[in-house]
Amino acid sequence: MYNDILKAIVDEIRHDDDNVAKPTRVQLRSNLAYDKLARYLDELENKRMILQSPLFITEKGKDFLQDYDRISNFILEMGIKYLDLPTDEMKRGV
Amino acid sequence: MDTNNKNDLKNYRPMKFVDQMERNKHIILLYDDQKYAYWIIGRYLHNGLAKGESCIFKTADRPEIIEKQLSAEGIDVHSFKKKNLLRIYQVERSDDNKHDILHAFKQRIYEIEESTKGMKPPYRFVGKTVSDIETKDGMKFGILLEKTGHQHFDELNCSLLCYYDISKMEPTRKHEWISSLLRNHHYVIYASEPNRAVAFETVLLEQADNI
Repeated sequence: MYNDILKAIVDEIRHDDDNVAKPTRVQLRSNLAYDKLARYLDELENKRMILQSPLFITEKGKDFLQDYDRISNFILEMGIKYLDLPTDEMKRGV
Repeated sequence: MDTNNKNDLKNYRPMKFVDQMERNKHIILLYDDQKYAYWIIGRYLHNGLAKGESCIFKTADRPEIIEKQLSAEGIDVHSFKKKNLLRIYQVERSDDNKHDILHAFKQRIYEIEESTKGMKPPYRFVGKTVSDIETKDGMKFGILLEKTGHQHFDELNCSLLCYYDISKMEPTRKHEWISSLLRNHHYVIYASEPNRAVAFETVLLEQADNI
């Protein structure tokens, strides 16, 4: 989910003339209820991957996006329980 | 180090993470090839030495072996030892008393105190917390020791990089061992082939299931 939200923010910034991501647009792209998205955004901000006013992705967030596939592969390869991955994907990896 | 290796090292993905790690963190280095493990260890120590931190490599091996490895990673071992910024601290590993976690933990605290005598903080450690990773009992004990250490980590006032050769880890419950180890460290670095190597904060694995 982190990955989806960060990607949505990046896409929004890319398509916005002012280079700003609007939360409502990110909500549409990530297909989440607004209260849920708000909590994810708080969590991402706590992890210093985004800034919220205005909504922006940090260097750390960009690094995470860049490493996302590697992190996923590592988690699957090591068989680590990761709440963000679907159960069937976990089973395939174990 | 030859030119090819230098280029590989420059592009090795976990290096940026190692360069940006915060102070006083408990780090786990998982590796399947010692060459990559030493790339990380070398960089971690190099960064500490560059900042004037006191670096201690705790080992059960002969210090000369470690010194040779660090020299191969471009660390001027002789000079930093002379400046009292680098110490290879030899420990005996009789594999502890596997039933007495408190004793083993106290022993680790004692080693930290002994190994840093005459040095100035901040301290940066490298070492194998768990010596026996090839048996279930060894892993169970080791994880308990890591857990105890992690719970008290703030009191230790140091950075600590624990390294594990996952190719030698007890295989029947390997996934469980690794998951438990990750839960008891702040950062994980996976030192593998350049296209697989990665590093991240373990807090990312604790994604809120209550959202």
